[in-house]
Amino acid sequence: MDLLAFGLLFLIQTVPYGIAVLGLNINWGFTGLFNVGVAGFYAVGAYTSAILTAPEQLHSIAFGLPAGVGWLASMLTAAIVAYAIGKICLRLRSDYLAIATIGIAEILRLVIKNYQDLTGGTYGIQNLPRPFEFVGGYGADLAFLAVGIVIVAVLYILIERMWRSPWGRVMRAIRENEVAAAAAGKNVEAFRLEAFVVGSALMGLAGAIAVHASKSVGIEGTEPLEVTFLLWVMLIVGGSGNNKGALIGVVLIWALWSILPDFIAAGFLPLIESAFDLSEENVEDVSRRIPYVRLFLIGVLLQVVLQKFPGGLLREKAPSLAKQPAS
Amino acid sequence: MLELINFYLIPALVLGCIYALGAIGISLLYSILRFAHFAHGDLMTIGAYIAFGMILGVELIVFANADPDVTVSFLAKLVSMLPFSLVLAILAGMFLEKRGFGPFTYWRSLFTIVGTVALAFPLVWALDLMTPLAADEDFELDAEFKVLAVLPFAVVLAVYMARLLDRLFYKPFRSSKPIIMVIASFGVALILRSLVQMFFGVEDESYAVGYIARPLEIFLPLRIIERHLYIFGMTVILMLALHYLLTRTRTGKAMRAMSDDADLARVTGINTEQVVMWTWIVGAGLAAIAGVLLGMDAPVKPVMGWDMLLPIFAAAILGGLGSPYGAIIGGLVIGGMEELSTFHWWLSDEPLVPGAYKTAIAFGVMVIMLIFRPQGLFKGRVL
Repeated sequence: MDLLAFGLLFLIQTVPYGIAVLGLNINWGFTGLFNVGVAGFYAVGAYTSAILTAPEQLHSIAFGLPAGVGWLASMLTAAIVAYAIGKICLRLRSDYLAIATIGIAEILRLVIKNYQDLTGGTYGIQNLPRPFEFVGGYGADLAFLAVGIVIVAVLYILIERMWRSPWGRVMRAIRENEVAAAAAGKNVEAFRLEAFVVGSALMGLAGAIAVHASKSVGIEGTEPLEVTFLLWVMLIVGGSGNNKGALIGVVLIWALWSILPDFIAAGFLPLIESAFDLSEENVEDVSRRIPYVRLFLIGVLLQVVLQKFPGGLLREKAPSLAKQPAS
Repeated sequence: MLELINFYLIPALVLGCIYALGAIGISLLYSILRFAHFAHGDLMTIGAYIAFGMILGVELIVFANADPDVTVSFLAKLVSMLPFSLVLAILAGMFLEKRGFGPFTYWRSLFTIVGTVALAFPLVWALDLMTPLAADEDFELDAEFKVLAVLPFAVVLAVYMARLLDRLFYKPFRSSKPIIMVIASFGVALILRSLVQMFFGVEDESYAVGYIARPLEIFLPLRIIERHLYIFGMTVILMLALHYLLTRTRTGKAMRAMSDDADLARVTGINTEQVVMWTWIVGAGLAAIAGVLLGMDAPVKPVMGWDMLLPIFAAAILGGLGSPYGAIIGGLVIGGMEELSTFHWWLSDEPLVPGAYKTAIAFGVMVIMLIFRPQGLFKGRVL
């Protein structure tokens, strides 16, 4: 049934976003680090895993390792890149981290596009293995989705524990008042670096899982703005600092993102057509611009939420003292 | 040697000028509003596209009138004149307010809308009068002339738009953490870009189709393309004007005071919102001009501004975020390094840095500055 296929595809697509949003929540929600290079870390993970696991390629090198190895390696490489940037920028004002992360995302895009021997350049990397492919049909999708959901669930539980742990408390302290945290004897820079590296590693994993889901990777798949921007909207709409909210934000925004084009086409195209008496060619031109209307609407949504509902759907909740594990 | 000057040094200077114009705005906004303005590149795009739209509008009327086979409805003509009449209405409103016919606080929007529509009619008629001129076979407008003629209008509209954006998206966060404004500006960047893509599509455009520039030969053996001269000239004039504004006027003094200490400035009776307004006028105005100048030299496309963002920030950081003079030097240095790095130095045939990685130079410079001298060459403000 078509609806089933659509539903499965939709859910599979939300899995990488779910993982990345948890990472972004560690960055921003926990520690207050403005990471605008999500797409960069995502791409690092995606390409690491793709290069390691792809069978022989026409245009680039490939190693043909199992997918699991690729996923672990993708976290590692994303973490290494994050460590380098964090080491340089985290001692400076938060704006600098934002600038540097945007920079690294753009540079990585440049490298991916031009270093064909490694990344396949504009050809991309094809025929990536996908776990449980041998099942075939919907079963394969279901099994892959199950793996994804298990990963998200495990990460969610782990990160919730981190949130309640003394480590999480230090992060919130740093976010709220850096000077006070330092005065309490916490090494602010080191803690920030930890949060930045862990969060970015998850973004790398998200990238890896996304490319294995679609079985191929290319430059357009890691279009920096859309990945980064969507994740930020998901986190802020869902509620930064709240893992559950962040995950709900992913499903909501991804649903909105998926249905908006059809919605706009159904609602506005006939209106514009009748108002301006367009030729067929013009109608095609107008409908090609619908994705930008969608981007515009999501952008406005972000502004509205930022101004009117800064807490998001589910507000951040400090864990109750009784539930905290003894430190 | 001549090759170095003609094909590398002059383009380097051109690029440097454009970076400098953008970086000044970033630096000023950072020192006065205290946030890294991520939508600055897209303000450049907006400026370039406003100018593009205006040129299209004029050409629509003039050339459609001249060509008997083409009919354009009066409504379409009217719409294509709206940007011009909007500028006139804005300026008229400001003028009347200065003369004591105000304050227009409640009526201004109405005045602007009515004025815009009303003024579009005489503009269409005026352009209709030019029809016999365009009917002449040899009549052709110089591309540079077209761009420079619409430039002032484009700048006014871009500044107006920036002030609107400030009012809608940045003002609500004046008293919250600056990083929230950075997030908002990131969203604004995407909103601006999607607007451009919605109205103009994603294809590369140009101010002059099929236009090939012949270098001027007055400075032989130096070859300078005419538009490059305009870019240099414009940048020099703007920088002198900026220097005058910052050092010799009350507004400039207030801006410097606010950048030193916003609270102290407010206590001494400086109207801080007015300073903010002037910061946007200068920052967005320069960004729009930079965008138009870039559009003269390179294709006009929706990502043109976003691609400028990284080098502009690198330039501002190199000069010291918060120091407008530093931003000028930074822009020239980054532009120079990017272009000159592709020259085949050391007498080998290979370029020093492959052209595709040119952009990485800006990033490299920025990282080195952040490691060793985050306050920049000219001591901006950090932390």
